[in-house]
Amino acid sequence: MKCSELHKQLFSYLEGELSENDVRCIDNHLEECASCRSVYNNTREAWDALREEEISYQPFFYTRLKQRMENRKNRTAPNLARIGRAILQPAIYFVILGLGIYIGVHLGQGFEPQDETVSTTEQINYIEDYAKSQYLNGMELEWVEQEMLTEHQTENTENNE
Amino acid sequence: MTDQEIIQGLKNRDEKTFREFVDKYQHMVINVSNNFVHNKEDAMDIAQEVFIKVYDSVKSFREQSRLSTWLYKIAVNKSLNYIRAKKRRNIFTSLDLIFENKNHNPVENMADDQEISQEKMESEERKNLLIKAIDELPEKQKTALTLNKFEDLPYKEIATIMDISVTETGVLINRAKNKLQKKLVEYFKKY
Repeated sequence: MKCSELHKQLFSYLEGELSENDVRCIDNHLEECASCRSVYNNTREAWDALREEEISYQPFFYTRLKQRMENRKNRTAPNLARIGRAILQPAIYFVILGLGIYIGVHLGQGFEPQDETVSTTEQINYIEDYAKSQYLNGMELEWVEQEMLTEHQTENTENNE
Repeated sequence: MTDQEIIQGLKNRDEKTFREFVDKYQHMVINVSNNFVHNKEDAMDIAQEVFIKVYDSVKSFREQSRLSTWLYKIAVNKSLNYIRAKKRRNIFTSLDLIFENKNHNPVENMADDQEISQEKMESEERKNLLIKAIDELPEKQKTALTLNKFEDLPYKEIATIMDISVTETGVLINRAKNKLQKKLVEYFKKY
């Protein structure tokens, strides 16, 4: 038997799944080949150690489990409040916004449209008046000064008399 | 108490039944989880999650399979989820180790500060090499092999737990065995 053949049947040999004849062949090879013997022994020891690994009955397991379930319950309550707040808050904002838009639209519909020609003429007049008050004509300004001077002089003569 | 009575009691939210159910199956659930994660504390943690899941979803259990099969199914899924999450965490840990310039080899670094005998250390090392080899198998092959070789479950029950055919179960176990053999020969030749 070749080493590679043994390597292919390692687990079946380990688990006792081979025929008597195959087992005999492997036994003979293991007696002769130190390298394969080392591989087999290490594999068997590791395999047995892992299979024997067992956690015994845990007396406090149920108590710990109940504690965890209680903690979960306590954690769930604030979570629900948080989720509720996270959903409710934007919902309320949307309702308020919607109401605002609705009221705004309906209030706007209450006003009757004005006569556009009248309002335009009024606007033009207003603009002209405003322009007049903003940009005083130099001649007009002189006239105002003269006017004020005349008034001042008349007052002085009246006072002297 | 029969499984039928347990299921009925659990559906009625009976506290005494839940306690009996946990006491009856805790050994099985903890050990199947341990066969996947190979860590006692993690296995206990996963087992708790399994019982919570059963408690939460027992009302939807249609009793088409045995209670133990259903428990195996949940335990396997929870264990695999745990392993996936751990792998994701390990990517970041590996990055940390690269930046810290440390060599992280679970086998080489194992029990550095512990005073244990040479023989025990070698035995632990061998076991860890086998665990490493099993962990490197594809998920389905690992699941089928673990349930068959460490839980001694027949192909038919494994097929039900994994939602596959019996033939597929056999194929998965054979492939897993062949890959594992190759890896172990590789490891133990140098040993």
